[in-house]
This record gives sequence, structure tokens and C-alpha cells, in this order.
Amino acid sequence: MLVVNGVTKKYKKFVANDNLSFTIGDGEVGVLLGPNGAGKSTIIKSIAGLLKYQGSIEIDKYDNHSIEAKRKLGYIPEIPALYDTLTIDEHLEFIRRAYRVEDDSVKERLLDRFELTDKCKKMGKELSKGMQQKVSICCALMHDPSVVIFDEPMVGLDPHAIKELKLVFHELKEAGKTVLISTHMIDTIEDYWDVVHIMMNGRIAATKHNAHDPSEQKSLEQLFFEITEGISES
Amino acid sequence: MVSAYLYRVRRALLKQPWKFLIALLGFAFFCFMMAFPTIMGMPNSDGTVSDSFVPRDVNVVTGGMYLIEIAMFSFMFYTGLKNGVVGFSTADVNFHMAGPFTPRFNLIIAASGTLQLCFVFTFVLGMQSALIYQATGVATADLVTIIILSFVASVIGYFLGSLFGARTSDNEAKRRFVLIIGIIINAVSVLGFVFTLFSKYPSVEALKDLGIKGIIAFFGQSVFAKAFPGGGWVSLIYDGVINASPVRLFMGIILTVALIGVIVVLYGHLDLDYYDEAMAYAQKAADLMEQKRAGVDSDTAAITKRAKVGKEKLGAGVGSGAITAIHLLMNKRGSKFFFVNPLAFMYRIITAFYLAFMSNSSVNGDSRALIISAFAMMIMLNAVVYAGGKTVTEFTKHYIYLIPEKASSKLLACIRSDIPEMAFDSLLCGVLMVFMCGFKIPEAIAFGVLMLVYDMLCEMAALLVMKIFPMLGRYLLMLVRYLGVMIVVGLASVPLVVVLVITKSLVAACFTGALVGAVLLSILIPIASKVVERVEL
Repeated sequence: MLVVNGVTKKYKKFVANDNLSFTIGDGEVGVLLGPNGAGKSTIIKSIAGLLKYQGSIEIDKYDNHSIEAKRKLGYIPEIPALYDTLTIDEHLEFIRRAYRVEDDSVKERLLDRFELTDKCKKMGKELSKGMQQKVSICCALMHDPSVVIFDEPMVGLDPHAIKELKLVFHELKEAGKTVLISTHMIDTIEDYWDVVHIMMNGRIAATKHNAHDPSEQKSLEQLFFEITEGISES
Repeated sequence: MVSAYLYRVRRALLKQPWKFLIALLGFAFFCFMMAFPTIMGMPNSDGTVSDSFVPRDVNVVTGGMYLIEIAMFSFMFYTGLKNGVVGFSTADVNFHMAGPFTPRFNLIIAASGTLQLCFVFTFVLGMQSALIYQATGVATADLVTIIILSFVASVIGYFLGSLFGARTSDNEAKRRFVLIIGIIINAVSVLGFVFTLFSKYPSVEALKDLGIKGIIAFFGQSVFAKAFPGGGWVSLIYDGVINASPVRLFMGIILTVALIGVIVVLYGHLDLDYYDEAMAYAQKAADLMEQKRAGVDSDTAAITKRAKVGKEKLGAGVGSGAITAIHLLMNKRGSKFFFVNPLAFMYRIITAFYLAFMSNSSVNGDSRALIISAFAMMIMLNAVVYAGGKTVTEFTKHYIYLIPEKASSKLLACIRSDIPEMAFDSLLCGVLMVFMCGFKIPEAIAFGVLMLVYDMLCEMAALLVMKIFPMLGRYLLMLVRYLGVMIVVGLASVPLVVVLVITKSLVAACFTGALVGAVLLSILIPIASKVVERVEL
């Protein structure tokens, strides 16, 4: 479970996140949806413990800066951060050892799944952005985290990888993991989400649950544009 | 066109006034370094000559000046040629290239952006004033002139190289042709000089007697130095002044002005079609910027470019130990031997040459100046190597912050991975001191230990500076990091000097310095560990 409670992040006078609070439960897929500059990446980075902020963030009831929380967190950054001179295989091996994962077969499974097996001897500097993103995803899933946060994960991926990634979202949900995805591309989130928080100017402007309730009058798309473009339907 | 550009510059400066303050501090420090020869040359209170005074050798100053200016000109010319249209941002591409500006105006704007690089090189050269003084006895006026001329030489070199780079951007064969012409000019100058030198000093004994200082002085007299395009012509101006030669002075002025004129004319008349390459460069720069914004610092060092996957394997290590293991693997991949840092090794060769140059004429009959120079040079070069090393780079990626281990354990794992490189380098430093400065073995060991501690100190100080001033740009951060490291190492060196003055024992002084350095480390490491815990990436 991921609990974000009253998080405010300021860059000098600019408020990137303004008193954000939300919870994503076990087995839930949460989506942070918003235009560029809405503060999605800032809150994702804060959850990963990469920014200083006011408020509190808990990962499976542990403070996100604690070692226990780090052990339970998987983070896929917006820009893949690989070591230029380590191969794909070595990246995964590094993470496996750093997180003390005993099972060596996880690495092979992930490489296979994201079609990286035949390229596993390629160094980080030799990979395209999409390939780097795949490696980044594999690294984040290597230690079987219970909370996984994705920052714009679809950017740069090829259709096969996008399909696999969506499948991964479903599997993580099935396995009872907590998933948080930040994206500005409303078309990509389809139907695998449980809750969407629409962000504007550092705040959550609206929250929509995927209740599959036919009585709900506004679609996610309608709600999104109503908020981001200020169009109110009378 | 110009007013639009100036508006942009003015807005950028107004938004970051703190940059003025840092620039002011840097300038003040720079002025101090320029005044160094004057301070060192001040007579004692009783009117006698100070121990630190180094007599000025006009011939060596002249030769050294030619060497510096030619090196700066050549380096910047090749950089400009290679980069061609470096300096364009995506904003430049979108607004300048698509706007109502001529290609040559756009190119000048981009090239002027690289003046920052010339400033940095001039600043770094200025920081070496103590070494230049010890080597040649330059006066402050010499130093200021050499620095100004080297700025001029590097700017001319860059603009010329950039012009050729832009002109040949669509044809690699043409660019290679220009490169070969440049190399031929360099080679002819070197070979011509060597031939002249051997003609006058035909035996090894004669050359030994002449010494490196003599060779440099001889270079200053050589026609190959004076005739060297750009660097040599610029040097002729001051050569004429200090050697009272109006012919050289006027030749220098005429040739330099003519070269600048040719560059201006070429910029004005050549048909420049470089937008494709500019856009590719801008995209690359934007990607790097994006990575930096996301907390990723690309390992763009030349070592990274050379790295190839071989038989090397990831060594043992779990938890924090995995960080040590990947660092050692990357070391091995970058240089074949995990304990050799190629950059540090290259600097050690430079140090050896420098010491060979200095050792030929000890100051006032003792070797203290030589030891001080060696010490200062090694520290300054190590500040560059280890203040920008793998550990510091590691903290620009997110892995180290996310790995579920204690912060101190992760930091120590990083330091541990640098120890083989640092130890080997310290060993080399000790060996150099034995052969070049006549150290005894215990003194060399003590010196090696001191260097090892100082290397770690450089690393920790750089890490903290980087985290304290995350808002600084790349070049400015480099300068502030360098200054910060120098301040911390300077602090550790004060007790060393005191003990040396009191005991006259190098062993005691070095161990004292190492001890104080270790105490500082014990303070800095826990602070740096906090950085790992509470990060702002």
C-alpha cells in the first residue's frame, strides 16, 4: 500500500506539489494523469525518496526513506539511467545482488519477456532510448517489489514492449501489488486502472474510480479535458 | 538581430544574479593568483631577497609563452573543427535558425557561447600561476599578458576551427583533410624545431646540459615557434615587448590582426550550410540536459567511449558490495587494469615531465621549491581526477539512493571501489618523489599515505559541493567544485606546513597531514552519508 499524506514540494517560490494526499491500496493500479508541468514527476520522485518535501509518504506502512520501504519499492524513472559501460546482463545482475535476490532465474525471465536476451551483452551506451527503458523496467521488477511506481513508462517503447508492459500492470495487480503510473497520455491507460487522480498545477483536481458504473455520466476523457481546458458542460 | 540576442542575454543574467557573485569571487581569487609572483618576490623586512623569490629568466618566459599559446590555439582549433557547430541549443534551433537571422550570424552566436569554455581554460591556466612562477620566475605583468594572450589565442583558434567545422560538416572527407593540414603544420613545427635543436646540440650530453628549461628557451628563439599560425603570431607581440624588438612586436600585431580580419571575412562570405548538423547536436545536447534534469549524468568521458566488453566479469559482492563490484568492473573495462585510472596516469606522466623540467635548476640551491611544486601539482591534478570520479558520478544516478542498505555502507562501498586506483596513484606519486625530488623510502611512503588520504578528501569535498550547489551550471559547478576541494585540502595542509617548519621532517609532516586529513574525512563522511539519505536529485 502507498500512502501519500499532505505532501508539498516547493522549488523556491514555485509550488510543484501542493498538499497532495492519496492512497493506492494493495492490488490497485493508480494513475496520475495530467498535462506537462502538473507535478506528476515531482510526486513520483518524492515517493522514490529522491526529493526533499513536506508531509509524509508511507510504503507498506514504512516511511519511504527507510531501508524496509526501499526494499519494497520499484521505481522506473522517466529518463532511463543506465551505466554507459555495463551490459544489460550486468545491470540486472547488479540489481539482483544489491537487493540480495537469491533466485537467479528472475533475470532470465525478465530478459526473455522484454526480448532482451539476445542483446544482453550490449552496453548501456549502445542502447536506444526504448531499449534503455526496457532495461530500466527489468531492473525495477527484479526484486519483486510490492509497490511499483512508473514515471511516463510508455515513452519510447515499441508496440511489443507497450503490450508487455500493460500485461505487467495486469499481473502486478493480480499479484496484489500496488502500482502507480504517471502519464500525460490519456489514450495509453485504457482500462487497467482502478483510480485516476487528475493533476493540475500541483494539486489533485479530480479523482475518478473505475467502478464500471454505467450511471456515471462523464468518461475519464471528458473529465480530463473539462479540468485541464476549463470546459464545463452545462 | 543583435538586439534580440542581447535581450535574451540580459534576461538570463537578471534571473541569476548569484552567478555574478560567484564570478566576482572567482575573479578575486584569479587576481590573487595573478599577484602571486609579486607577493613571492617581495623582499624581507631587512631588505634582503626573500627565500621564495625566483629570478626571472626572460628566455624561459618567452619560450614558455610560445608553448602555452601554441598549445591553447591548437587545442581550441581542433575542438572547434571537431564540434563545428557546437553551442546550439534546441531553443537556438527553434528560434534562431527558423528566425530571420543569417546562418553566419547564428554561427557567431553559437561560437560566442563557447567563450565560456575559453574562460574556463584561461581560469585553469591562471590557477597554475604558482607553478609557472616556480618554473620560470615570471613577473605578474608577464603572467597577466600571457593569460590575456592565451584567451585571445584560444578564441581565434576556436572561431577558426568552428568555421572550418561548419564549412565541412556535410563532408567527412573534407573535414579530415583540414584536420590533416592542421596536423601537418603541427608536425612540421615540431620536427623543424627538433632538427634545429639537434643541429646546435648534437649530443645527448649537450642536451642534458641545456636542460628542459634551456630547450624551452631555445624554442622561444626558434622560427618555428614564431611562425606558428595563430598561437605563435599572438606570442610575437609580447615577445617584441619583453625582448625590446619592435620588429617582432609589429609583426605580431600585423599577423594577428590579419588573421582576425581573415576570419571575419570568411564568416561574412563563406556559404555556410550546417543546419542539419546543428540540429543533431542540439538534440544530443537536449537529451543530455534532459538526463541531467532527471538526475542522470551521462558518463561522457573519453574512457567510456573506448570501453569494450571483454572477458572481465562482475566480481563478488552483495548489498552495498554490489556497488563496489560494478565500479571495479567499470574500471577494468575502461583501462584493462582495475587499479589504473587512465586520467590519473596521464596526469602522472605530465607531473614527471614537469618535475624533470623543474629539477634541472633547483631554486637557491635547495629542493624545497621543487617539492612544493610537485606537491601542489599532484594535489591540483588529483582534485580534477577524483573530484569528478566514479563515486561523484554515482551520486547523479538514482540507484545508490534506492538500494535498501545503510547510507554510510553505500558511501563506503563507493570509496572502497576507488581505493585500488588511489593506492596505485599514490604509489606512483611516492616513486616520482624518490626519483625526481630525492625522497628517501620512508618519506616516499609517508607522502604516498598523504596522497591517498587527500584523494579521498577531494572526493568527499567534491560530493558535498555538488550537493550544496545543485543549481549551478556545468562549468560553474566545475569551478566551484575545484575551489571547494582546494579549500578543504588547504585546511588539511596547514598543520602539515607547521610541523614541517618546526621539525624539518618530511615524514612527520606528511603523516600529520594524513592524520588531519583523516580527521576531516571522519567529519565529512557522515555528512556525505546524510546526502545519501536525504537527497535532492
